Amino acid sequence: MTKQDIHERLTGIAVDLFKVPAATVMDLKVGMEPWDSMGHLELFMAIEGQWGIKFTMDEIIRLSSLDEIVDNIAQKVGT
Amino acid sequence: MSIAILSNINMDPLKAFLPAEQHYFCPYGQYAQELLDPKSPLNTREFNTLYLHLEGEELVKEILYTLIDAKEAGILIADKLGLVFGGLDQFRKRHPATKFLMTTVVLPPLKFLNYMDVNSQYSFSLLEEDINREIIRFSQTCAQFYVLDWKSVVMSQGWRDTVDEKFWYLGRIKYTRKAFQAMAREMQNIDNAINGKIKKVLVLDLDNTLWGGLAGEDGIAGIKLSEDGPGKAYRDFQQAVKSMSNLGVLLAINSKNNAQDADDILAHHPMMVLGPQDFAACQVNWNSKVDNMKELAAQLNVNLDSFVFIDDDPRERAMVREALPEVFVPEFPPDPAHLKTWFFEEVVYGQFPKVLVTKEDREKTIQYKAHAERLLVSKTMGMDDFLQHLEIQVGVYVNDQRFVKRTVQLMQKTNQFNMTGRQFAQAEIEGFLKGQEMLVFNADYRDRFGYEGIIGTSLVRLKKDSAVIEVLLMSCRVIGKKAEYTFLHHIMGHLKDRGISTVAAEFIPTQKNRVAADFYQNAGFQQVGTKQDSIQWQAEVMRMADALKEKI
Repeated sequence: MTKQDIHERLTGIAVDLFKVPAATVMDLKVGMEPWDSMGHLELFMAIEGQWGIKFTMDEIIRLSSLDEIVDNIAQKVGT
Repeated sequence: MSIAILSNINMDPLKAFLPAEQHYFCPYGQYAQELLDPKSPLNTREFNTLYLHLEGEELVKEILYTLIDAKEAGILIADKLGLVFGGLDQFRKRHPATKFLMTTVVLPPLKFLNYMDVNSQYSFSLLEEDINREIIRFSQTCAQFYVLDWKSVVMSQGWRDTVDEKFWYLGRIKYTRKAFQAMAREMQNIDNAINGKIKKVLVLDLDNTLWGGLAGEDGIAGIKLSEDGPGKAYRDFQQAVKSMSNLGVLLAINSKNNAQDADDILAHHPMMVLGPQDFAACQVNWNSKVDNMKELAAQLNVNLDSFVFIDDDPRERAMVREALPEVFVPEFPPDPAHLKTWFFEEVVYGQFPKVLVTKEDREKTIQYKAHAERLLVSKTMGMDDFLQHLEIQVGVYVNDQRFVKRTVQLMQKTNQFNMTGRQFAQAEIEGFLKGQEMLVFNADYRDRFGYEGIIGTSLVRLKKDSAVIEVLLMSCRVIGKKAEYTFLHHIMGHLKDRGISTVAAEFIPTQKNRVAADFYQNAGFQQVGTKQDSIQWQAEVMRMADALKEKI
């Protein structure tokens, strides 16, 4: 799976979860509605389910943009 | 199905798995007051079902690592359950049509008493049984009260697949996605059972389904069906199938075979559990299974949408699915070793769920009623009694260095009872503690069930003889117990001592803080205007300090 694929799937998950149009999903920032602390956790639950990977507590606290998350997933699944 | 979810933990992720119909998630930990308060969202709406899930570790957290005698533990738990049952009882009077669905309580499988636990007087395994016995007893005293055995669900999928501590520490979410998914599935199954949306007929293929091998080729002596070895998998499966007829499910056969070959085995094979008399109808011939299925429906006078069809052959399954989409045709396990488990998981619980509803069953249980009533703290317990019973203590701290980090964290994490949503960085808070312009208040909370820690923060900007509340928030865990009024009361008292005469406040609405919208009004503030995104409030400190005292 390429980074581009990961990016596409992740934005799909975020669009579903946060109920925002795909065009604006990359502008979202953690801590700002609708990406609140609960949404943050649900996003990671969904990602873990989607790719069958696990994040540590520290990673979940640290990763705060979709770009960072894409990079981290890519590392974990070994692209 | 409109459903209200009540729990002592964060159940938000369940939302994703519930049908997109109406549901309401009561803020976690607030089930008792929402049940009792006639003005709560729970009481002012109508729900078909009220779902109550008490997570075990959280329920007994005060005693989980203590050597507490079973009797004493029993009293503490009876007290807690009494609050729940008392609340349910009150709720039922207001909403007689609402069904209750409560889960059994599961304690973590690893106990600090390790091998001693099971046979000591401090046993948590026994406590778990006691708790669940009380829940079941109480359920039997109420019409429309159903118990979902969460313990079986957890056992079936395993504790490690059920709980993920990481999300618990980060957001009080105890369960994995898989567990939430399982929970939603079980809720749906029980709802189907209650509403009679269940299948009636179980149609079975014969070769490689009820036995291994082919009747026409292997014959009665050659098929796999035995008391040991792989043939036992089929025998056990037959036992499970036969048990369904005890539940009122009709059994039928749909098989491509010479009728004589099949009959020979059905009637005479010594290891057959099922016999010809167990089947309400049989179609054993060389016709298409689709036609046979229609024929069975006609013979039994049951609609095809009440049919489940089990067949090992993927082509036969595909044909029936294609031609008769109303028939439920599950996949078939690749290894017959898993036939029985698969059958229960995929077919019995999902397609033939049953709950106890008969009148006799209810009457039998009257004897339990007296016992359950003793458990209730009070049948007529109201909101004020409840609060008094809790023995709440709110402590307030001003400019306390120890709570700087927690203050920042609360501003970031509190979405619901948060008047402004304003955030300050740690360095800013540290600056406030040194300076004179801003007071930093923190509140902690304790009641008879335990200590919650620092759960409230307020930042108040000081001007000459007036002040502005820039931040006021409280963790939703403790909201609804009037702790928020106590906190404000303490703040007012402090401002009064400083010679402040008027205090201004504002409410900035967000998508999540509706629960806080009326707080300033209820507390006695006057609305003095609205700016673009906010509502402005004002109050006189002297008068507020007294008015709030009456509130708490």
